[in-house]
Amino acid sequence: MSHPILKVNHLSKHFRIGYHQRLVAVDDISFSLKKGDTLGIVGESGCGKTTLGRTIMHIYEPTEGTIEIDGQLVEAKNSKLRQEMAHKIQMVFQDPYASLNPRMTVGDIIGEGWNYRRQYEKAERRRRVVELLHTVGLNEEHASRFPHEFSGGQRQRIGIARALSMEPEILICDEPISALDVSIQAQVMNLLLDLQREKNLSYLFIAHDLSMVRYISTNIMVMYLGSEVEFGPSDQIYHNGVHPYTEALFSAIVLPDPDCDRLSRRIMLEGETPSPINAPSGCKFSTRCAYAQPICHEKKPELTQVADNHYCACFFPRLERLELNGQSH
Amino acid sequence: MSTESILRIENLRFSFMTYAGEIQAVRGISLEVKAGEVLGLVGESGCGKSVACKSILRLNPEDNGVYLPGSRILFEGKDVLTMSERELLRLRANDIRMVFQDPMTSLNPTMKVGKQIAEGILNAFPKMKRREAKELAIETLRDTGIPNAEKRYEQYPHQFSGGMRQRAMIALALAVKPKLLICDEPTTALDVTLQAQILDMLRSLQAKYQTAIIFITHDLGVVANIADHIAVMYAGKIMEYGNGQDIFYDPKHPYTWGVLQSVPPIDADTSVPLVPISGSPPDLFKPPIGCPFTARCPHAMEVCRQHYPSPQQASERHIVTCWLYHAYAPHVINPITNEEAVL
Repeated sequence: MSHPILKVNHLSKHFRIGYHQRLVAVDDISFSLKKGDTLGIVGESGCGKTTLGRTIMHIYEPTEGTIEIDGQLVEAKNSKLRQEMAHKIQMVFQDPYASLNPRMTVGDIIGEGWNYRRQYEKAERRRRVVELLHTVGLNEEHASRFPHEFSGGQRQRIGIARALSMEPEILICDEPISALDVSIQAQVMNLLLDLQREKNLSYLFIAHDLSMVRYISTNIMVMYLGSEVEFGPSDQIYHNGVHPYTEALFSAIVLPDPDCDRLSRRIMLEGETPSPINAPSGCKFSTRCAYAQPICHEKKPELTQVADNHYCACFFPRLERLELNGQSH
Repeated sequence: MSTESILRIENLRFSFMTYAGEIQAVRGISLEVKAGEVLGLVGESGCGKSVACKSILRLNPEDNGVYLPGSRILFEGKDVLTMSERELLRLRANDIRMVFQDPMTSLNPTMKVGKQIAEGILNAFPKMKRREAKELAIETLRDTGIPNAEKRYEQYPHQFSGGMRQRAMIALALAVKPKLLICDEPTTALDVTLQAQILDMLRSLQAKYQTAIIFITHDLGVVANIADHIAVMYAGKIMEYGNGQDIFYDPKHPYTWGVLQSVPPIDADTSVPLVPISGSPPDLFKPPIGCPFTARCPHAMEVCRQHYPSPQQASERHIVTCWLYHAYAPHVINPITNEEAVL
């Protein structure tokens, strides 16, 4: 087995709110990502998936836990090593309008990273910018234009080119397609898949469009209120998730198919997600779980293996769903 | 379900006049909504679906926008575009209500939620007593699935969560039992689990109140779940109209094919690549003379560039606007059914 390109151990991120309160945005998350794989991170808004991505990028300093890139520990405070490692992990942001500087040309945006690393002379830089533009499906002449001249899909391509300029090994895609129209989403999705095949990139794909996540991911991690509730191969999670929350989340997908009347088989969750400032004790999902027992309110369940490469944090995982073999849905 | 139509839009054209020129947002659409049915309006952003629906209530700005001559919007036989201000107020209070995408900006933050609903009821039925209006408001809140409706009646919008606010908006719209409810992307800002709750609630309330609904969305999954009939819009025009079966299993228009192929297949293996539509939508400052989809259509012909096709009927209520079904057109394979495309 090849060693993981990204390893996250017991990562937590807390934000202080006022004097006495803490918002636990990311709570004790561990996972590893292999080279060339895609890990999809799903969950409702406010579950901490974006914070997780940003903490891995060291945009936020982790409160606890460690991040290893390519077997090397990236210590939060060791800025020199961090700078050296920074090019290996890059990010594509959600909002293609807010994430590009409107006063810089596309060529400057793509080449900005090289300024910090003091890389490449003018001619070489120009050649590389053109090459990157071609890679993401844009033209040479686009390099001298400004972001406002581009549509949403094209801007997202510029964002991807900027991330690629550092020749990263890991790309954190934070909802890269949510702001785009359906027909454009597929274009960007195919671009990401082609790039992955070509350059053997690893993706951390954060999104709330569950069918897209399943389409692109090797593994999926489901988050609820900052905690990891289930991790496993994407098809397994999509069809036979054993955590009650996974089951409910994936049953809520509305499919573009009028005959598949899923509303009747939909598991309706009671109420809404509690606040992460005063998260419920024990299992965080216990307040809305249909199978909750007294122990769920008292003790926090550990992440345990339920099948090959399939982990779940629940005292009463719905193991009978593992036998369904993808028929259910 | 009765078959009388309550709303008939005929050749609606609306343009915004800007300093840069005329933006032709809606470029001639005709639609019909029957009593008690759900019409889904799908399309990409900027295709004119919201403008078309706001026209029904005359909510578009008329100081820098204009309904082009020949447009008619008949609600129960009366043309909305020629109504007086008084008639319009009555129409908006009693007969047609609208739910917007963002509930935080459409509820008044300085007014209790219940009072806003009661105010709406009193506007529609001025003779009703205040106490009755309050009771009706609480009952509607309960209908939309808000627990502790009496307590919630006294609260302000900021005390509601996103999903609850959208429920309150729907209660506000449905409390007067309108004949037509227009929902402009009501679930787009919500998570999937909340979206499922809201769709479920809308479907049961639609059955209970027998309200006709126009449901605007860009999400094919949502429209498949809720709509009886679906109109697919592109660049200010309707490309295809039909029921759920027609649109999802036997679509006729290349744009509909493209959109359906852009979403991940429901159960097929993930090695099948998505088939995106290349290019991007046309500029509505200078829309093409012919079919607006020509530039992105894999089956485009010379005639598509020159002339806009006339609507073709595939069945009684399945209409497609495309040259491919002309007698002289070449034969192409419909990628959804994998059979030759015929009417």
